[in-house]
Amino acid sequence: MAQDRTFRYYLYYAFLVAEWTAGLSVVLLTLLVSQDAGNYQTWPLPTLIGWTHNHKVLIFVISAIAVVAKFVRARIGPPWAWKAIKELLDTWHSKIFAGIPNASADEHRITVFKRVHRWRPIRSWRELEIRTGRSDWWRYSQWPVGWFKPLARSQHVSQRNITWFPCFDAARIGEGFIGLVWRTSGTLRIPIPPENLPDLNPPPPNKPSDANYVDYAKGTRVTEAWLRTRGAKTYARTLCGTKIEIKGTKWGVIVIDSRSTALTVMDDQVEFAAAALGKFIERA
Amino acid sequence: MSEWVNINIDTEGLREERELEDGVRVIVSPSPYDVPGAIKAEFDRSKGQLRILFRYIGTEPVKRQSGQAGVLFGMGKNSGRLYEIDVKIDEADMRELTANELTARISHEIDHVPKVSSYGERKENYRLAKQALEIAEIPISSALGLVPLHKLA
Repeated sequence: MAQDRTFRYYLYYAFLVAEWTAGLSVVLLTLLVSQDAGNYQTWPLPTLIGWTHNHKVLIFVISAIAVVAKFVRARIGPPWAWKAIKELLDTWHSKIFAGIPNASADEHRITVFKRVHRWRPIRSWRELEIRTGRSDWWRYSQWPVGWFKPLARSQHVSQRNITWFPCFDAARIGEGFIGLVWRTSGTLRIPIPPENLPDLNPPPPNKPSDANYVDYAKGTRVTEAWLRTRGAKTYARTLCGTKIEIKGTKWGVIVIDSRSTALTVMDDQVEFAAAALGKFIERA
Repeated sequence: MSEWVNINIDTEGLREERELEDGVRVIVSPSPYDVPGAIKAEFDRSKGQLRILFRYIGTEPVKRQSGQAGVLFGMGKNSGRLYEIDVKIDEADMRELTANELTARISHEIDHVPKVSSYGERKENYRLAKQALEIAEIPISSALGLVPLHKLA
């Protein structure tokens, strides 16, 4: 339960309290300002009415606070919806990876990414050169049109350390598997059996070879240099992804990634998850 | 057939291997949002108008577009997905058409869906809508009182 009470949770309720407090204050102030202090003798009404007549501008200021609080709260989304999204991912995780004995949460994951504005992750811009492998990354024509922000991941692992991916308006190295899913119609899966993505997390003392990095980078639309900077991250060997739509408009991408080379994700499983997630996201 | 009829399109059989940019090879199956999950047919005998409706996992505002021969298409305003088709069916059609011929005629109209959104043509969705029509041929024919061809044989 305590894990559910994230920063987002407290922020949402702080704005809810602010919105209601401001709303009720506006009602009270409007009522007082409409009265004549001379008609009341009971303390403190004449003083309060007199004070509100001298501070009418407060009604406007507090109304503005209420509107802003409502707007911000709507942007954050109700905690119950985000909790439901997380629980749905966890349930789906246990179904999809049921066939993999002792499937660890860190090696078999489902992640929801939302496509956000290009200016959101300022720190990710510093990586653009290495992520795209282009020295002219700073030119406007090379800028990403947005980013894929990780919003939720199955199980209680890596919630804060999930990589953002750039979103380009055309095919570009650095977009990753997510970019490929975003630009292509349908549900995508890699690799095509019997091909395999190389194992970049071989059991010690083995280490991935240079060829492994090259092949992995080529197969997943990233650069070899960026892969090498990531160190001991988990590298999936099977990926499946589809777009999430809200009211017919592309909203984000859901990616299932696994260290297993034998993972099978059926279309009806993807359909069920996309339908349920879409409904919750509409309300979040 | 004023009720929704659930249809089950086997999308596993529609998977295909594709080579995308820079030689990346992927398996692609239809987007879950493009697959009709249910179909409904409404026939207004007084106006001689048959309306076929498709239901998907997502919803969106529908925009009407005129096609050939007085056919009206209800397309998703944002996605261009096919949600509705309105077809005129006159008395002569009612007497002469079999259910197979009717669904074939509607399928033919789907080949001429106008382009309405930045998505461009939704070929995959239209292909699936045609498949849904074939699967729901008997419920559609019962709404119109037509005889399925295989019953005539």
